[in-house]
Amino acid sequence: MAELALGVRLAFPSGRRGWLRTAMATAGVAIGAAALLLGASVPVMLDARQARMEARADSVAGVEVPPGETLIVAGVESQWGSNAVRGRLIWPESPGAPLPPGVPAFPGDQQMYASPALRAALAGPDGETLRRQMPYEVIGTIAPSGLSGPHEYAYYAGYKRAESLVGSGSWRVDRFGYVLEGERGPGTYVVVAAMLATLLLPVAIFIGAALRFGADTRDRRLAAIRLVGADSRAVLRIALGESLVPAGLGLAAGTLLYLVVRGRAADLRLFDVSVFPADIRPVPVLALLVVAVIVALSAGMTLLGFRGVAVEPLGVFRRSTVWNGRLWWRLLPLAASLWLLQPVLAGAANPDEDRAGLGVVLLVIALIPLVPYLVPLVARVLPGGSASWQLASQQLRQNPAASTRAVTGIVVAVTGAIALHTFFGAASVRRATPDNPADPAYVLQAPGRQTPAAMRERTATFEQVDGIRAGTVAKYILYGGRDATGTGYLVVGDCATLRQIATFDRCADGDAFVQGDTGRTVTTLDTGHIEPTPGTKVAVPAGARPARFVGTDAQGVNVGLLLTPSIVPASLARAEPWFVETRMYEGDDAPGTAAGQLRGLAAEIDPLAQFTAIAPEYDKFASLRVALNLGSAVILLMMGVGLLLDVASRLHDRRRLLGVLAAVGARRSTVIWSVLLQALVPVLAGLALAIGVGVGLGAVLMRMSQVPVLFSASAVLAPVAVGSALVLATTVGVLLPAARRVTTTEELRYE
Amino acid sequence: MTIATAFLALLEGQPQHGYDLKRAYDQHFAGDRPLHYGQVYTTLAKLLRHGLVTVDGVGGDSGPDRKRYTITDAGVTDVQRWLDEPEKPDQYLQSDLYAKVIGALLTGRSAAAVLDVQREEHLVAMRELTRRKQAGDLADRIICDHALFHLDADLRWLEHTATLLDDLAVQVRR
Amino acid sequence: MTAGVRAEGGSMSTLLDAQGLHKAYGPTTALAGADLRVRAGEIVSVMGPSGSGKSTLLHCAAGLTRPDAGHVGYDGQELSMLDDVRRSALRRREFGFVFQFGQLVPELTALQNVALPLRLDGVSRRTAERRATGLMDRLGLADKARSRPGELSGGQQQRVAVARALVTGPRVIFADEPTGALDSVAGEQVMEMLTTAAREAGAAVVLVTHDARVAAYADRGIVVRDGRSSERMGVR
Ligand SMILES: Nc1ncnc2c1ncn2[C@@H]1O[C@H](COP(=O)(O)OP(=O)(O)O)[C@@H](O)[C@H]1O
Ligand SMILES: [Mg+2]
Repeated sequence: MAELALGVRLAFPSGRRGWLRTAMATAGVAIGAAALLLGASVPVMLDARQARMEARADSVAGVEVPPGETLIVAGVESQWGSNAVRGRLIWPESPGAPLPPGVPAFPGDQQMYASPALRAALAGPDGETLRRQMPYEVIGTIAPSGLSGPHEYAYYAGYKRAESLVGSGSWRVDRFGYVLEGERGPGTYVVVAAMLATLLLPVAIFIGAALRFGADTRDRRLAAIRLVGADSRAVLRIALGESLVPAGLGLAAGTLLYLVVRGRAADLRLFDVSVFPADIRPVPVLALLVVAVIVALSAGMTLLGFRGVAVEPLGVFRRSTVWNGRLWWRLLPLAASLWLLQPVLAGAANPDEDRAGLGVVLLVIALIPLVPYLVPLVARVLPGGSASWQLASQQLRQNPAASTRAVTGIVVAVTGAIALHTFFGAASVRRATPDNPADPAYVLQAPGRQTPAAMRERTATFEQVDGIRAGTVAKYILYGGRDATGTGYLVVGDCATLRQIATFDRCADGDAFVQGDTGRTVTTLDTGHIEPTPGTKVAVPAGARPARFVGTDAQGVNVGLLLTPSIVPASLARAEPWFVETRMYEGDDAPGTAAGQLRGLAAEIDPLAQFTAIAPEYDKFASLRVALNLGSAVILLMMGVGLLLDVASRLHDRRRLLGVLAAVGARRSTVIWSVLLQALVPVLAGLALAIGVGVGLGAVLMRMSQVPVLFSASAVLAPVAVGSALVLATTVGVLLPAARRVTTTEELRYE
Repeated sequence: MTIATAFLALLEGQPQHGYDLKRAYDQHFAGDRPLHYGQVYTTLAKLLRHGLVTVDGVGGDSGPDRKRYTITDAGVTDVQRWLDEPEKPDQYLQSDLYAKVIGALLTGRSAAAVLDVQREEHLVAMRELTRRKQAGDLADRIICDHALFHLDADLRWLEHTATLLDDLAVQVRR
Repeated sequence: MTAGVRAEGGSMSTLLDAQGLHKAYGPTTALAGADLRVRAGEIVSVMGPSGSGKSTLLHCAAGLTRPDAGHVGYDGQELSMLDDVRRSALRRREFGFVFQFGQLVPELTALQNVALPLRLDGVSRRTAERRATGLMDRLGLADKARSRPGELSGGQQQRVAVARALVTGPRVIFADEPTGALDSVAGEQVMEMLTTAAREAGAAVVLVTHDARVAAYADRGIVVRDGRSSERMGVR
């Protein structure tokens, strides 16, 4: 105990280098602690979000609620830019009807309570277009208890017509807080764990670099303490006590950082998820674990620093580790990761994601032992010649581990950045087109019966938007028996529109087409019932010719009947279709606001109509890319500082040698070049490795997500450029002045 | 150091004629004052009388040059006693000490031991001075320091010489 | 001959007895059969040219270095048979060290440096610092207690080291060129304080030096040359 206290005492150093060392280690620990605390908060965050969403859940899951103290609800799920809009049209059937969470009172007909974010958007630019989707009078704001997050777009609108739509678009609820389906899988935790692991790696490397900085002074100090009678275990305890200080300070600073981030949490959004700061609380057990991990991490890095080191009363002896250049064990992680990734690389249809994920992580880790092997190799392969390179190359070959420690972190970070950037690049290329080229960009499915003329008019309405081609059909679902799973469609539309849905030889009004074995007659599924109920019987016209559905329809449909308007029997014309479907195709000349305009038009036709964007309207990786850039910037910065510390301390260690070189008349440029080369060659070699592995990793990710493998030079080179710029800046900016100082023979006098 | 001791040391190396003895003495011990022949023969006579050397006349008749002198056991003891006895720590004792070193080298004895003995003698003196100095007042200190610094210089010369003994031995034996 | 009056007082028992020490560093032979015998309370100087193995002899005798061959007996126990914990305890309680430089902890104040061996031995901070203060007062360091080693002159640093070596009431103090980095006045001061304090405390001192004026503070001396010691001197 006394030794720990002494260690703590010793961590408050005298001298600039000592302070720098403590400050750097503290910063590293702080970043790690903040990240870990945030990670520890993710479960609470998700749970709180889940709880909010459960509290307002109104999905009765197919169960009919009898009228009584009930509220009629209709859902309008929509989209505005990258934000999902959750709309609810409600109408109370009695004064005792349940009030949705966060809503102070029932809105009157055509009035709404809107979330703060939605109100802001309505007031913002282009708000008029958005307003067409929800043309209700705003009478108040939804309280946080009714929102999943501060940035959620949501509204509750009074809508009397919903009364008449029960069973075909609206439903009754007697309370809020139904069980939500589609729970989040365990995957979320796995992802969070993987993220933290990859984050912790550079943090640990950084802390290690910080602790190594000025290790020589610490070594001398410990030897001095050993001389006056501390045994080797006591010295270790002292060193551990010393590491407690950056750990403690770092924990405090990390908690502060965490609180700051938490305070700003309302401004952050990721994947359409926003979080209330109040929901960011670490799980108590995990928070304790974070403290333990941080302490263990700094203690572990300290102990690791003592590996192969004997602190003796007469000094610190490093067991001369003869450089073990053997390659095979360095290749083991690489081999293991390749084995894990093998199904993906071989192009297997359904690769096991966990296995592949593990392989990806392992591939990144596999770099770590490879870099120290690579550097002496490069040093050997590069042609000799100048005196400065000779000096540098000798040093690199003799002690590659020391020369590459800091570089390894940069290589790992750059590799990850390249992989993810190339992946996101390729993924965003895909977004412009729907999965199936035959599919429309948007589909509106509206309830109600429409005459052929009305359908043509609806088509024309949507074609007003620039670059949009549309077509409207009435779609009936075929009844296949009470338990039938196979689906079929009966589609009514004009020839031009039918052509968008199916392929057939030719078409004129009065033609009919069939796909599959329909039998002599087909029966539609009656609307207005939750249980499957047979509706209208339709005879298959005698002259029906074969047709094939195209696009996504073709996948789910095995039988189908397509009718042009004039051959539609009267019985069918009277029956209500499952929905009237307007299909919208987006040309290249469509403006970016097309989706918003189309949604507005659709809401004007029927707010309860289902509007689906088949091609994503926005780059859903955009926010992730920002996070990635931010993350890699932070990591690269840390690595840069780590490199700086490392270079500075190595320079410090060898200042005598350099001074002697300068004193015996080596030209200053020779000495400085040798120092520069020593710093740069490992980085360049490491970056080359990073490009190779990063591109490979990107390809793996693309394969896994079934994105066409595609590389853009900028995605590959940007992280490399940033990484090397960082290295250049640190070496040139810090190393050169330091080297100049060292090489002035002045220094020697004090030796 | 006396001529007699020097002769004994020279004879311990090997039996010699009187003429050779004079030459060797002049080379190692005389500095710029060579011996007279008269001194050589009176010294040798004295040594003979004390039984420290014997003579084995080769020719037997024609003068001292024909006589070869050999050291006796008593003579060897005398040399040993001489070498073992440290010189009194004094200010300018180098010449005496130097003679002893040469003597040790000539007789194949340990010159280092000579120096060690001398060092110890010096140190004893220095310890005594240090004790006096610690006990005394400032004036005592300064006086003792004077002596101490001189003895220290002697010792450093001794130490220096000790490191050169091997080279010196080669030269002396040549 | 008046030499070694104190040393020859046969009643004093041998405290530390190193015999036939051999030590090689790779191809270099540092010790080739060196002896060192220290009786309780006496001050023994170890002289010899540089590189002759003086420091190595001291290190072996203090159990800091394990000799390749030979024995080091201290107070009836064989040092090389003790494990690190026991040897560390010995350094803490029975031995004190004053080296040429670098043995003070720069982060600690002079007082904390002096109190360090006691603190390591589990003595309470109060007691440790009280004892350290007393000793520092006697060594003329009263006003330097709060200074860090970096703020002290070389002589003051060495006096702090002397105080630290003495604070646990050791039986042997190992001093390796304690004045090596000092000018002659400061060196004399340090030597005077070291020897006086050691005598008062009854501690033996092994004083490694190449400087005869420093060695003159000893009761007797041995010489190391080429890794061999001449114990015969002074016990003649
Ligand atoms: N740790 C060591 N590693 C290698 N050689 C050493 C070491 N310590 C001492 N030596 C060598 O052993 C010999 C004796 O050294 P040392 O005991 O320090 O001599 P002294 O203290 O008398 O100057 C020298 O040649 C020295 O170079
Ligand atoms: Mg030494």
